[in-house]
Amino acid sequence: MKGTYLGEFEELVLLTVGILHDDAYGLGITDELEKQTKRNVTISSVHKALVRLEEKGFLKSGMGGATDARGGRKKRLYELTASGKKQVNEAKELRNNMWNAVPKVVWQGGN
Amino acid sequence: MNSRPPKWAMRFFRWYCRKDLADAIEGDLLELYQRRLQKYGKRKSDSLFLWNVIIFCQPFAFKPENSRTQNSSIMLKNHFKIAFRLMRRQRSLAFTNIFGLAIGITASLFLLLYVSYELSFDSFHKDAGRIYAVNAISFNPEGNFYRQSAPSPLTDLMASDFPEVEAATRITSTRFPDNLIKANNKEFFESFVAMGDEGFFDVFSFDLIAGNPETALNEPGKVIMTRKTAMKYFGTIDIIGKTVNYENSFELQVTGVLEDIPSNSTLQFSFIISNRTQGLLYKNWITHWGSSNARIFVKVREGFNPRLTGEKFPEIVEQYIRDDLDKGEEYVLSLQQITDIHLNPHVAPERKSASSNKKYTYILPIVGFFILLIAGFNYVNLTTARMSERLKEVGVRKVVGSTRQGLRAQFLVESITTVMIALLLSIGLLILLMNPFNELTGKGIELSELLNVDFLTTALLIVVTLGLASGLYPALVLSKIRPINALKQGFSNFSGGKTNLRGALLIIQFAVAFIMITATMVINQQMNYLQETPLGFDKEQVIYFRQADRNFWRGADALKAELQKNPRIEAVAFSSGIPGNPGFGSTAKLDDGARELEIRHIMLDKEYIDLYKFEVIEGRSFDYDLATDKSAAYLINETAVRQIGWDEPLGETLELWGKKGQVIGVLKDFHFESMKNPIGPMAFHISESNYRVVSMKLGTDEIAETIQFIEGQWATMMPDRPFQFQFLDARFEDYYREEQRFSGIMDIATTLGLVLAISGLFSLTAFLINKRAKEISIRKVLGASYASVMRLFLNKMIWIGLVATIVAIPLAYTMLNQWLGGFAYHIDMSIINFAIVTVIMMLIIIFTVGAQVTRSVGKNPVDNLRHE
Repeated sequence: MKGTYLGEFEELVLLTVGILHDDAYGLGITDELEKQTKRNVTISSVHKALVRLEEKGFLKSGMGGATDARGGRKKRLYELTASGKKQVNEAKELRNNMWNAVPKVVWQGGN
Repeated sequence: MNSRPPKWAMRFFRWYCRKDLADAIEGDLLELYQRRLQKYGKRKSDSLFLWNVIIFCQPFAFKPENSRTQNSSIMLKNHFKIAFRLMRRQRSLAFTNIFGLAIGITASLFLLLYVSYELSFDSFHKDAGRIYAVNAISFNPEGNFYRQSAPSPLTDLMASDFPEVEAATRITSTRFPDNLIKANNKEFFESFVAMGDEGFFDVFSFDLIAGNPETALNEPGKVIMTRKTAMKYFGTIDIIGKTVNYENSFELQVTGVLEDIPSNSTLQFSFIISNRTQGLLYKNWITHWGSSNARIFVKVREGFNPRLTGEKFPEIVEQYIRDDLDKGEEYVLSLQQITDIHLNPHVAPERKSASSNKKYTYILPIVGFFILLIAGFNYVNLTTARMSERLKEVGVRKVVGSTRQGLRAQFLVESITTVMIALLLSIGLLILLMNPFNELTGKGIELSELLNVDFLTTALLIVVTLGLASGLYPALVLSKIRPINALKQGFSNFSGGKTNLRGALLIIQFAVAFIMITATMVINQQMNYLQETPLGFDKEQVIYFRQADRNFWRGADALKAELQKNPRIEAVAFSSGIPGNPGFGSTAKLDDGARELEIRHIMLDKEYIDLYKFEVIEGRSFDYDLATDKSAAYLINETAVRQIGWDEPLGETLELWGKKGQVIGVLKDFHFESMKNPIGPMAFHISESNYRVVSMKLGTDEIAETIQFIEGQWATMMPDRPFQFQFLDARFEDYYREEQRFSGIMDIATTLGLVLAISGLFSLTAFLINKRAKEISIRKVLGASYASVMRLFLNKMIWIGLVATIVAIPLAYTMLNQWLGGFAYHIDMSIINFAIVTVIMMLIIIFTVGAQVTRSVGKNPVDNLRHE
């Protein structure tokens, strides 16, 4: 179904928003993602994913605190919506199901 | 420390980013910036910030369309739509525009391709930037004389004693220009036979598709050949270990097959024989310092300084070469980058135009630019012509709310669309015309060359510049018009911008056309002069063939006797060289060795002088009955007499190759080579054992049968040598091939330029007359004559033409004089050329304008005046 499909990166972003709970804003999410995945994550791709996830209804946002380092600009804080949570769960379940469907012999059988 | 990122980057971000996201993202970026500031410092953080801003520039971050002041992307679509509708409505105009531009773009792309090909020579070698050739120049007291080759042992010396040299190799020519090669029961004379050593593959990136590069050339008796050559002899490339016979004297073993040499390589081979074979074939020169016969190439290490290497050369000359030099002779070694050789071959000064490449490489882009200029100006003129028809449209658009920017964008979109279509068309033309173009230029440019990044960028740049430049003027003028004027007065009162600009464009166009026509005329005159000036001997109906066998002369008399039995063979002559071939260059000793002169000499038999109709103007020709004429007599040419300074040359003595003899006659100067080179000193003498070439003068009828007869005789008399002949006049035509190609390109370019210029002038006059149609009609009603209306339009154009002529003449004169200066013998540019071209230009103007005026005057004035 168009609009609800979740890419791998988007899924990771959703999870990160969950991890950061009440301080989930663009740069913070980027930092956390880099820490978790040990990959280079560009800030633009995170924002792009955030905008798209909000459009899909998985995230909602509000403006939060400004600091000096931010030149007085407020943060946009994101949190998971109900359907966002459901989506993450579904993704997890899908994975679990598929994981379970792999015959044991595959894991044991060397080459 | 200023802890803020550059303001303009922020402003740029603000400009494109949507409002609701901007604050938060900007905050994130600034936070990131502060963090980086600690880590990397300001400079790097600034550039990283800019990078962030640039990659944020994606559709998700853009302002939504309705929040912007203009609905640009919808309008953009609309602009395209309007552009296409206009083209459909005014088909002939669109056709003229697009086709004119396409011709201009195609022509300039072709010329660009030609130039980038010429500049690409030898750059396919992997480390082309690090490969150098060693040039050797020897200066004798009379002036300088250039040799490309250096002494062979220098190769090993440089490889071992020069730390900056990574690898060195030498290429040596074989002794003869044509080499008899037999293999697999086939035999041919091959011209591209060289000798090389195992360093060959360390320096060059020629591709060995079979065989081992380490061992392919390391021992005597080995040979490698190109794929094409292998196919020619064996029909397969699986030929390692097969044998090849060289000159009936030596068997060579095939140790490798080379991929065919790219056409943009200055080094061209069919065969490379291992260098050590020299000692088996003739004298071994590899360790001999006294002879400059090796073309040495070195690959240097990174970071090498050519100056430092150059400083070591004088020492080497002192140590190894000095003893072999003549008195007063200087010998200089230098390095030249391999990629530079094609355009600067540094041939001997007396043969300065042997490579015409460089001259043409710089002239042709100018020609391409000229054509593009004419095409571009045409487009501008035609677009301004169309402007007046679109005044109402502009007025309505403005009233409805279009801004100036919007209108500008519209006109730019139109011009860029036109140029883009023209570009697509010209790419098609380019692909279609590639083969004829290669034939015309004699180059081997391949289509894949088009995908070269430099070429694509330049091409794109041309198109974008052309599109912007030609769309900009109408865009600026039209967008400035006040809507009330546009709507109220409309058509008749609008001149289409400042006429000054259009006049200037026309003047440039005419001037360019003038230069091109004059250039083509002068180039063609020079070509005719070169080809039709009597050379001083008779080259018609002469066939010649060469053979390399040293023992050929023993059977020569018998062969001659057989051949002369055929009445259609008027004469047969043997010699060491023939006209069109430099022959042997040697040092002649004069005044018992007190003086020396570099002189070319030909060894010949008694028929030679009669066959070629050389003219003896003083003294006498050889007399075969006199024993001294055979062993100790010389004929020299006027130039030799002049350079030596003899007042009374007859009876003076001359020593060549250890043969001392008297001068018995003086030959009238003749152009032994092509007219491109000055006449040098020349000597003729008799020496049977040096016959290498057979020349035959044939009667004019039944040539084919005669040649068949010769071939039959040859096969019986010389059974183990192939018969490959050539007509001498064809050989002389070869000399001018480069020039002929150039003049062919110029002919076509000029025709195109002229057609474009005329079509532009034609359309422009149509516009001017159309605009004043009512005025013409009223004048006619009031009794104006045809001539007075004609004058009205013609006067201005004639003036423009005259100004263009005045601008063009000095330019054309300087350019062409420079070009002619490259020839040793050239025509004097006559003023008549300029007069003729001026007349041609005026006639073109009069006819083009006249045709339009006549058409307009012929119309019934009522048709023009009725509707208001």
